[in-house]
Amino acid sequence: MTDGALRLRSLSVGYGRGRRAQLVLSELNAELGRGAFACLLGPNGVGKSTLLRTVAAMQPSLGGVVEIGGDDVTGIPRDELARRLAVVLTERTALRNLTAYDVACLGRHPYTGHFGRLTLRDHSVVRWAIEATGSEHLAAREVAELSDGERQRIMIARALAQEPTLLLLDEPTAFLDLPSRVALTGLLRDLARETDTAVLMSTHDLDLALRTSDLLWLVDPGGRLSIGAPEELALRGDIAATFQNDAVEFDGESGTFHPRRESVATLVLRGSGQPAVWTRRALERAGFDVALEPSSIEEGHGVVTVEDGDDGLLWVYRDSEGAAAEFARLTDLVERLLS
Amino acid sequence: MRPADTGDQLDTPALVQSGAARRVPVFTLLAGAAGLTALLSLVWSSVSIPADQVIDVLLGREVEREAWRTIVLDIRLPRILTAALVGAALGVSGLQMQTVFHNPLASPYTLGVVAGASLGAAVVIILVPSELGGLYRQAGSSGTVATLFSRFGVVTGAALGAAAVLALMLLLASLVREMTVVLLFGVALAALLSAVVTVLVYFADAGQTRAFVEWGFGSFQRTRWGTMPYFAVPVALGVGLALATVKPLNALLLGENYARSLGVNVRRARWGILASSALLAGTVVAYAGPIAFLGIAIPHVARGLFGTSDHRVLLPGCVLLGSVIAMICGIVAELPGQNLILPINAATALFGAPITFWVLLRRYRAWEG
Repeated sequence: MTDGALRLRSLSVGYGRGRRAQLVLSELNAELGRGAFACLLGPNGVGKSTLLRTVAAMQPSLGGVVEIGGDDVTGIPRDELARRLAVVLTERTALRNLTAYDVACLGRHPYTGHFGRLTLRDHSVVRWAIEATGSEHLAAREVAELSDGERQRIMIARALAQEPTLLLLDEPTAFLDLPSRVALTGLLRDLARETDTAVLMSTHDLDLALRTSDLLWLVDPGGRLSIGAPEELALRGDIAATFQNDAVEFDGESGTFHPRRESVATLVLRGSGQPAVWTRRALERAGFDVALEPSSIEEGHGVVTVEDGDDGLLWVYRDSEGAAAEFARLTDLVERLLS
Repeated sequence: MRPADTGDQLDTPALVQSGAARRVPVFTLLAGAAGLTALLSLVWSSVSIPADQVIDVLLGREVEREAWRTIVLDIRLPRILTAALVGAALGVSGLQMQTVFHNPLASPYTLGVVAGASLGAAVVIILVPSELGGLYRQAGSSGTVATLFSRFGVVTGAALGAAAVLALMLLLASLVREMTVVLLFGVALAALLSAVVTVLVYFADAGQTRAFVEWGFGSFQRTRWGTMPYFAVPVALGVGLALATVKPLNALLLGENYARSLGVNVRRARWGILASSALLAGTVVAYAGPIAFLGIAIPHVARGLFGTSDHRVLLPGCVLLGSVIAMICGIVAELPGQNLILPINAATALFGAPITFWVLLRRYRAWEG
């Protein structure tokens, strides 16, 4: 096996066959090494799931080659493939009358004999997988009783029990609340490193992906795949180009997206620390362009100053004519500015 | 960090054993119950024979009346064996259906197998001229060659009907990716076949109608030692085949996509599961009639008793539990002490439904919102 856990060579993916084939993405070239955590990003319907399903050999490719561990997937026997590649899907399976431990044991399927009997070594791998995902406390519980986040964690433990070199996840965080998403994404990044597994996860959590992944696989609306560190892609403008549209714009400074809007006016903000950050957000939400002190555009604009007074925070607004007003609450300030 | 012997934070042996700690006593209990019900049904029946006399018969000793020997050995024993096999077969078949269709209501009925068998039986009873032995009218006067032949005819018809539906469903299962579609197809096909049966019965004469209705009641008494091999061997074969599907069945608990990712050849697994399931159900319907309810109920009760969905436990569990429940239904149908025999179908529902309610309530009350 080579270092590249996954390699795509001029891969084309899509539906159908022959003349009726519908190409979704074509001529993809990529490589993912063991120990790397990559997020597959792109607008809805661009073909992320199709790509993952093709890589996982769940649907045939329309051209080109997927190599896992250096071999063309179409030539790898089912059992062997299941030992190299594990998947976690969005779908919520209705499992009953099984403990989380039982579910993780199902991951040993490609290693067991005819009747699925687990050996001591199988059990020790399952135990390792459960510990690696930090779900020891869930092991003895019924899966039907677990929360969505806990269940996905067990599904990841089950996938790890396959001892794969490549782990593919198709929007595993889709049904989870925000804290669970952050926790699960962080877990995957750590797992990639600690277990020396290549992890490729499709997601819509752009912000989270930018902060956690080693690599982004970015599919733009034109079907072009760009790969690189999140920061590189942000600096090159690829992220903005992929997701920006009439309604949304990417703010390269904060790394987040905003609804696109007309600017009401420009304000200058003086202050520091968290008060300045949240004041800025409030002003921007109300539709103002905000320039931070020191700024070259001070002349002719209103100035907002936030400072730590004796009775808590205090906001002072001085308009372009020099008239000043004080506010004890941020909402009062914004109300005054908008009136 | 790759799997190695990590710290002992998680007590695996304890986790594995806590499952086994529950399974071993349940299996022992069921085995005991099977032996006990078998003995009880030998003793407890419409003709009362003292228990010690029954035991004497079994041990080959002298008995007070020679007729008792015939009753015990040639009527009761094959009936009990039939009941046990019917219960085992329907339990296993229902379990397989429920897992492969991911539907707790799936059963041999859902596939249309029972409807196919009914149509086969109806065709033989109603359309085949009575001189050829197709008629099942003189069911009361047992022993005559004509009746024996007619029984064989009905069995053949039912078996052919079940096999035809099975072939169709298997073809469909290999063509269609979505199992829900296969299930819906089965439901629709069952409705269609039942309609054809209704039409046939509508144009039949009173005797034929009665014969068909009687077949539809279900019975454990249609197999004698002479025909037993034709019943027992397919059932044994079906259970054996089903055992070979235990591993893919477990993977299928996760859904077909996950099963595929675990290296299961889903199409082949599906085929093997449906084939063994339909063989079991088809054989049962051919010999005992369309036995209601057991196919759905037994797997649920087994899950409740064993507290697991692991087919390595559930499949043998369904064999044992199914035979116990069917034998009890046999006793209930005999109404011990009375000169009356209930249709088996009434007994299975009368006895099976309350048990199912109880198990389901006990098992799912806690978190079924």
